[in-house]
Amino acid sequence: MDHNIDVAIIGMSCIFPGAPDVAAFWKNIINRVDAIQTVPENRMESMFFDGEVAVDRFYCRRGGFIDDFAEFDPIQFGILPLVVESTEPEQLLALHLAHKALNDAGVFEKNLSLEKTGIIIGKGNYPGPGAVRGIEIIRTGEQIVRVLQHLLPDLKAEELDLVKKEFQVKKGRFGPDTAMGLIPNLVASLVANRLNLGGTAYTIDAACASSLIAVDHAVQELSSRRSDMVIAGGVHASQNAPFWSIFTQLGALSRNQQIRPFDQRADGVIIGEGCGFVVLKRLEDAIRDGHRIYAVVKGVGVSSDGAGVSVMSPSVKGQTKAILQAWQQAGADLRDIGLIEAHGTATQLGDKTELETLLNVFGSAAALPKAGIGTIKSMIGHAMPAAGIAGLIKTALALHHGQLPPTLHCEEPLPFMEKTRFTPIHSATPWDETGLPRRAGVNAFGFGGINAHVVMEAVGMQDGIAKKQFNGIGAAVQKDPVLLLARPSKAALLQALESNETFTGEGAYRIAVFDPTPERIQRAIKIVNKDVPWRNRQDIWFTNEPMLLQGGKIAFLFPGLDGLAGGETSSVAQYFNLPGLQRISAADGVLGAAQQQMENSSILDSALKLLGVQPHLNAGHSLGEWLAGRAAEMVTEQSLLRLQAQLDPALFEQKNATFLVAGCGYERLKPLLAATKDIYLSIDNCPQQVILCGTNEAVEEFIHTLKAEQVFYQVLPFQSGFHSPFVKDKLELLLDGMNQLTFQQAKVPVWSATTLSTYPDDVAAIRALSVEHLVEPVRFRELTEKLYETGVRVFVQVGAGGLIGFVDDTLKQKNYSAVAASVPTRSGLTQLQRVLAALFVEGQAVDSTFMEAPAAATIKSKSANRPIKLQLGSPIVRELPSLKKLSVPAASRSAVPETAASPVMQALLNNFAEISDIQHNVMEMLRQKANHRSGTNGHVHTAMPTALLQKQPLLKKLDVSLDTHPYLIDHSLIRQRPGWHCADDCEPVIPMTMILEMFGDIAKENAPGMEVQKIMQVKVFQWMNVATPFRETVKGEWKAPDHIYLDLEKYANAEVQLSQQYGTPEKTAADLGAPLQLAITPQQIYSQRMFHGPAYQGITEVKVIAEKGITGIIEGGAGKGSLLDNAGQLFGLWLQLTLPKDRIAFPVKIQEVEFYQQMEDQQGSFECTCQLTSLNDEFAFADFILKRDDKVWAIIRGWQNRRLEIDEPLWNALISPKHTLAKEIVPGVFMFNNAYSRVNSWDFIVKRYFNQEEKKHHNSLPLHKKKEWVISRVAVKDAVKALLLEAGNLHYPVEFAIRSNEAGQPFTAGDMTGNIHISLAHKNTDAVAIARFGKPVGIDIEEIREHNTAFEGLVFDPSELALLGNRNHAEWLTRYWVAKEAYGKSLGKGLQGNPKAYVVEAINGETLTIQGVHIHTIQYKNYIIGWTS
Amino acid sequence: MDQLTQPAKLSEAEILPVLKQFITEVIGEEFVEDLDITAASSFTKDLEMDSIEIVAFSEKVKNYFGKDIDFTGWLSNMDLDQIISLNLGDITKYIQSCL
Repeated sequence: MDHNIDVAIIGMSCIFPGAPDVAAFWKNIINRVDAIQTVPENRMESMFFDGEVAVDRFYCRRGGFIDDFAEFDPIQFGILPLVVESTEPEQLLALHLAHKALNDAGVFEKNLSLEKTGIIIGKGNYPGPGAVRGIEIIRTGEQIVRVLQHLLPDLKAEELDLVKKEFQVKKGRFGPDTAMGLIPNLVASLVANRLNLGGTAYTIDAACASSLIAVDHAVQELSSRRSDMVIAGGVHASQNAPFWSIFTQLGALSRNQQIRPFDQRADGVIIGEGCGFVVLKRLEDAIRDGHRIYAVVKGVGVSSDGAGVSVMSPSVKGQTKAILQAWQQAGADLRDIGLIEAHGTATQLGDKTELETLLNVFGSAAALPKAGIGTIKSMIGHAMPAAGIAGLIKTALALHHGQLPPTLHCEEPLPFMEKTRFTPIHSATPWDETGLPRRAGVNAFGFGGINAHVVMEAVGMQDGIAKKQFNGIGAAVQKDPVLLLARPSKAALLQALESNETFTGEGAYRIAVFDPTPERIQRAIKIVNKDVPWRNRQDIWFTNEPMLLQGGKIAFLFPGLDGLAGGETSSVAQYFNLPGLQRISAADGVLGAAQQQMENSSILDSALKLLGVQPHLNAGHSLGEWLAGRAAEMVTEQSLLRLQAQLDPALFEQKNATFLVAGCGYERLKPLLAATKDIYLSIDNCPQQVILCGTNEAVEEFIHTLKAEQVFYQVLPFQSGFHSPFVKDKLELLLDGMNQLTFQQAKVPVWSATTLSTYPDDVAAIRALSVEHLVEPVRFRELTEKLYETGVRVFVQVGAGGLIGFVDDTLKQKNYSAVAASVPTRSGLTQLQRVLAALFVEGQAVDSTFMEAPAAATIKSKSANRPIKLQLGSPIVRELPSLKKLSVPAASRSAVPETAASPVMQALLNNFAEISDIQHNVMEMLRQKANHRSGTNGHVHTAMPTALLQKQPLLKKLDVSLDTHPYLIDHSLIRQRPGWHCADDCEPVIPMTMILEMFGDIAKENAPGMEVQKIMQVKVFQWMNVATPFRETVKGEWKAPDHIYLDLEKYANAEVQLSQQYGTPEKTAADLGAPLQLAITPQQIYSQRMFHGPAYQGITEVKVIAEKGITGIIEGGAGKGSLLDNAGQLFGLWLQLTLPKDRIAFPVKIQEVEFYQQMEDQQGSFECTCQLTSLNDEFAFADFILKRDDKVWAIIRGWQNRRLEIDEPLWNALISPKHTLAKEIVPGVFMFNNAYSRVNSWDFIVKRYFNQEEKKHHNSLPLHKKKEWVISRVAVKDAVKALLLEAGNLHYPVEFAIRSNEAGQPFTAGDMTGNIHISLAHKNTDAVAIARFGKPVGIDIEEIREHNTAFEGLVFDPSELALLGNRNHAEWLTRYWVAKEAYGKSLGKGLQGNPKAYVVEAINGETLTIQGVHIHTIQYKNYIIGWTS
Repeated sequence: MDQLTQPAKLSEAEILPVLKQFITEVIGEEFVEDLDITAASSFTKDLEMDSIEIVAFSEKVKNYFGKDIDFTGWLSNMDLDQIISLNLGDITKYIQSCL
């Protein structure tokens, strides 16, 4: 084929699993994000994965899904929101993303004509949710009615119609306005229609090659010059149960639920989905029009395999042809390849064939560097028709960024890979460092043998093209969505809000609403309705009298050091490309904070000005006045930096001067201050806050005064004497410093909080005032009032701090607006949006491009509409109330059989899986009706399936207790001392296998002459505890004369198949894979691994433990069900020995037990082989073969264990009281914490550790207290157990109790614990405990943290503080505290609110002494733990 | 540290409405209308109160529940961060513990 024209990729857009847009997609690629997830319930309900594989039951429950990102804004495209829900989501995704791609290409910005623009979309013809809905509405509704009518002929036509209508309504809208949304080709034509494209518009289906073939067509369109621009790509959002059924049946899905392209362990594909587009233009045109170019498409090749091995098998010949064609067209040398974006479906045959093709085409030249290979499927799954475009977008980004992109899960590449020129890339690698050319090939091979390949290059490999800066990618700075509206009247504003208008407009009624969701719009409407200004609450601003329009002024307020945590400014610096300040090295303390504050305010001040916000005046708070001066250019920045560099921070620190914040007005403090020496007003912030400065002693003293007056106070965390007479002795120094400053004419007036007027003009006067400022109080409250008087109405705090609070407090009830440009809770950039919102409301024109979040920035008529979430699934209808209202009321369906044999029932069952719930209702009615009729007139309708009625339902009472079945004590979940008197403590339960055999017995009793052949669909729902007699009734219902469904209501159910003869086993052995080097003896099993007692201990030998299972010899014991229970134990043992975590598992379901000999005949030794068939985080599945004398006795298929979150320590503690669950962190001190997340685990802990009385107490505790109680009691019980064990006595935790006396002091109650003293303590979710013979003991735990000086004064005696020396305060004061607590507890009193009562007298190492008692303390993590010796 | 729980004279359900009233007074009725004030509401995040408003609020608490409750003293012993992260439930509990 001839050399083709070069085609530029000038725009891109996509949504793929884990990535809402191109930027996120690339970020995920580079960061190796595996976006595969469990199938969301809204796409395929769990029932589809529940049970053995069938037409509608799938083994693979993981895939790539885009539900989180699939959104569509109908208003933007002039589509009725109502229609969205009934339109095929693929249509809307395509429209949304095609628009986005054009926008990314700058088409709207450049106002380019779309007259010769086309769109070609690769799309599979699989029915999407819309089509499925249509089918159900039109066919299934009718089907339900027909079945109902057949079963219940008496039903009236109206009733049937009601059911049908309700079903149809529940499935969704379907009418004239929605029909268009289901026409398949509209995926392309809707785009052409809505975006007014004049070129071609169609979809193509070439399976997995579809989107690359769309690119091929696009290149041809451009080559022929019929189009000047083409949008090409693919879409796939039709993953639903029918679709999965196809791939399940093809066996293509990974059994391990993990996609591993080109890895030796690969066992199939994981399906993904998504949508992506590229905008293509002839390269020369793209350069001419000044487009950003991501990459250049050099050639495309397409071929079919022809008559290959089979229609579904790939062929080297066909693939080779496509690749060669593309490279020929590209005119490129096959040796010059840097990267292959492979098809790589992770099927053994597919991967192998592709590698052979690559070897075939690119050879194996050892001299050349290895090129990279990878596939996007390893991250997002196989997006089917959209797979090719996913790979192409990935490759374009890789070329653009010059990074070889990583591929996942290929740790052990297929050996064949070695032979090729390619090697998998495991982490992002700079392309140019590898020496490989920036040229890549993209593969996409479709079912049936359709192959496509695209050759691409980086821009710059062609001559004379400069790379342009990216818009959407790189420093992605997030902004928040906001709606700005201005209208001339209240009515007009309300109207605009109600009709979701987004056009900003003009007028005096102005509102700014962040996060404009429908609910928040409703709130905004309420606010507007009140017609009273609303500012800076709930992220909404509203006014009806814009203050700036009425001549109000803007003041920039610069915070000084008010001690609050700073907000973030780096996002602002990055966004506006602002430089940081030159920092003075390693300054900390007051000046260090000052420098940080200065940098922040400088960045924010510049950003605000860049956004067009100019203050009428500046003012500052404390040292912020300098910043105000700098921002007004009254002081040059350089000179201010120089001043800071020369002022030694140490000189500024006042060792004996402390700031004290008082929560009241100055008027109230004045008389109090008059009576105290050495303390002065430093800053008058507002009517409710004043900052004082005093000597440490004076502050301590004044705190007592404030306390007595009940005035809130805080000591500020730095020592300084600014704005007080304390700095007077530094005056010389300060004056020297001031001489460093270069003053000039201020651009805007700067107000002084010392003089309450503007700074003077002449330099000497400014210097003098600057010094005065440092010595005199800051009169910020008065300044605020003054500024208000001079007409300031908008106060913008330039930096982080509390000035807005001061202004609010001072100007309460007045009309003004105050907003901070930096807060700790938001990014700097999003907080700047708030400033602009506040200003907008007051009438300021704001930069609309800045205000819009990037996503919304694309839309011409600015839209702040909330996009509608697309429903990609078609949920199953669960409830049809009309069914219940039918002539025969439906009852509970718990007893309804799940399968049925009669033809009518079969027809029903074969119907869509979707109507399974309705089916239950129908079945139930049928049964009711049958009973009803036979009860009234004995007549049964002839249409009733005869088999169902031949045998009467049966009832069988069960009475199982330790009296009737004493051996069940050997099937207790919790081991207690042999012969333990309280059965409740042991939790004896009926084994699942015993229930199963009892079901078999019941069935057999009622079918003389028959044997139990199969027991099927065995499910248990909860423990059947027999500590108190288990008396329940089994209900049996015959489905056929030889087939019964047995139901033990909320505990268990199963079906039994009876027969006069047994079947032939389909297998006699199972492949367990390679043996593992593991061995275990029965003695070890029952002492370490299994809780079973003698009657259920039947594993006599473990023969092989292998990769995929286990073989052993088992015997039945005295207990019923023990033989099969032992088979289960064997599998449980294998899980315990081989799983990395959650190793303990209990059976919950058995698909089928088939007997080949008599079920009751369980004599002798059996060889049991358990073969793992499937494993996931929650469940483990296996098949068992039981043989006796080499003859198969039974096969168990689909034995299902639920994995519990029980780790080694918990299991050991459950098995033997020797082990403690709490950790002995130092000898005798036990610690336990909130170690488990699942209720199940805690349930076991409570069962293990507490006796009946304690359990009762536990149950009575409120939920939030339970965990704390359990944790500390486990710790103390373990401490007591360990102490007893040390003395040679093994005791179980239930043998003694922990109680508390009236003072809350815990003590032990038990025969063996008489002489034991205990103590316990907890902090957060950690508990510590200690136990000791003979003498009282106390323990405490506290977190290490800083306390203020007031705390120190309250809690500690001065002698103690003196004792500290230069030890770390936070740590050692915590040690003091802990020691006091522990000591107090050892006295049985605690601290009793007076920590000073116990004084630490001595410190020796980590041991503290109080009243002669030694308290050992240790630091453990961030805790101090201390206990009396 | 094991704590003793003493029977409370006023229940949480009785204290909370009082506190709600104070909040309303501090931040203004018009702003409170749409706020869902519960025990879990934190002062800064949920109620958007700043430190000054919290102090004003504590003043009201003190005046209402009496001098026996050293509410300001209790607050004074906290770091600013702790005060900021306080929620209504914490205060209710403190008041209960003093009554």
